[in-house]
Amino acid sequence: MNCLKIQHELWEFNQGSLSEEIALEISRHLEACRECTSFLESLKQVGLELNRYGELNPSPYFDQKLNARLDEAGRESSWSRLTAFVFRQRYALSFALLLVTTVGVWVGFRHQQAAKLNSLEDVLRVQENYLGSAAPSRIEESVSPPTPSGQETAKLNGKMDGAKVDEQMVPEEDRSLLENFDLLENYEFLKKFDLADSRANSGSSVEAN
Amino acid sequence: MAGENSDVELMLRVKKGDREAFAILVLRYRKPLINFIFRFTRNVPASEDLAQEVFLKVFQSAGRYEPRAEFSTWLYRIASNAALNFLRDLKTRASVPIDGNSEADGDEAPMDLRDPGLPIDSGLIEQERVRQIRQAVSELPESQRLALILTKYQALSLKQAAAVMKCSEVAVKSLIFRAYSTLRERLVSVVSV
Repeated sequence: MNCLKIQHELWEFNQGSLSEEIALEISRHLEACRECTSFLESLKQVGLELNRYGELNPSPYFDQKLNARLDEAGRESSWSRLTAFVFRQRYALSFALLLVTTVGVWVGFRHQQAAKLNSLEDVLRVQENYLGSAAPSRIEESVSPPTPSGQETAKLNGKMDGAKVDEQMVPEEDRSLLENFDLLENYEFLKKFDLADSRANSGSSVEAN
Repeated sequence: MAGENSDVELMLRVKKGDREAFAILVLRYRKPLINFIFRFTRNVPASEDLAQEVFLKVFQSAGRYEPRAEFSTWLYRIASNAALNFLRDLKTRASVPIDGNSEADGDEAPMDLRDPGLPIDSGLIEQERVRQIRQAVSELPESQRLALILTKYQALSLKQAAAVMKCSEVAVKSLIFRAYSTLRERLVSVVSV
């Protein structure tokens, strides 16, 4: 070993922690090398000087203060553990909250829809109970405005479908109006309603009389 | 330490929430820990506070303790991290000089009051000598200072110091060699050889 390698080992040599073989080799080198011997002596001196560094003693209140901090930390730990968990899992919790809210809104909406359907079914059931088979089977029929009877409708539809309107038959005052709205070919159909209305009006006036 | 009250045995009891076992550990390590932090930071007021923080951390982390490593190396690992963070915070704030004159550090007066190792009538020469030694140690680079303190004052082996510093034994040996070489040059006035 050269001097630099020997000097690297001198701290351990001084501690007595080297193997016997290496320690013997260093001892032989030191006998012949003044520089390394001087280095070892200075290491020993530095070691002795470092012993002068001094030391602190714990204050008499060290244990009391530590116990107080431990108690305080114990009180805080449960709350801080919860907040730390919430902070760590904030993204997962936000997603879960969003998911729960969405599912809640959807379920609530469906429940509301179901309640509406139930109530309509209830209305139909009540109608059937009180009006019997005369009652309309569908709620739309019960609330739709009165329409001409089946025969009249078929008649009207027939007229509407194929019949060509004789324009000469249309009164002058109605023709310009119907032409404006492109309804001239529906004259017969519309006239039927007028007749129905006029019949109804005349009937009610008879009853009133 | 082996036996019923070994460090590992005590830590396993602390893991179950045993405060008495923790008190024994504190009693065993409080003085070495305070002095380790004091020698590393050269700050008397912070030494005891940091030591308490380290013990608090040990107690809070007891649940994760696995008896694979020695308790002392685990303790000094936590302490060296706490001390390093403290010094870096000081550097960031730049309110207290770390490597400046010892008078500015404010550690001399409290040390003289508390340190029973220093005789009262030692005189100004002795005080100056101690000041130079502390100054020289505090001016060492962090890694060299840590290696020196762990092996010289905390009496850890190379293997234990390497475990604390998370490096190889060869690296620790090299750091110690460099630290002693630097101290030999800086303390030339007090080292007679």
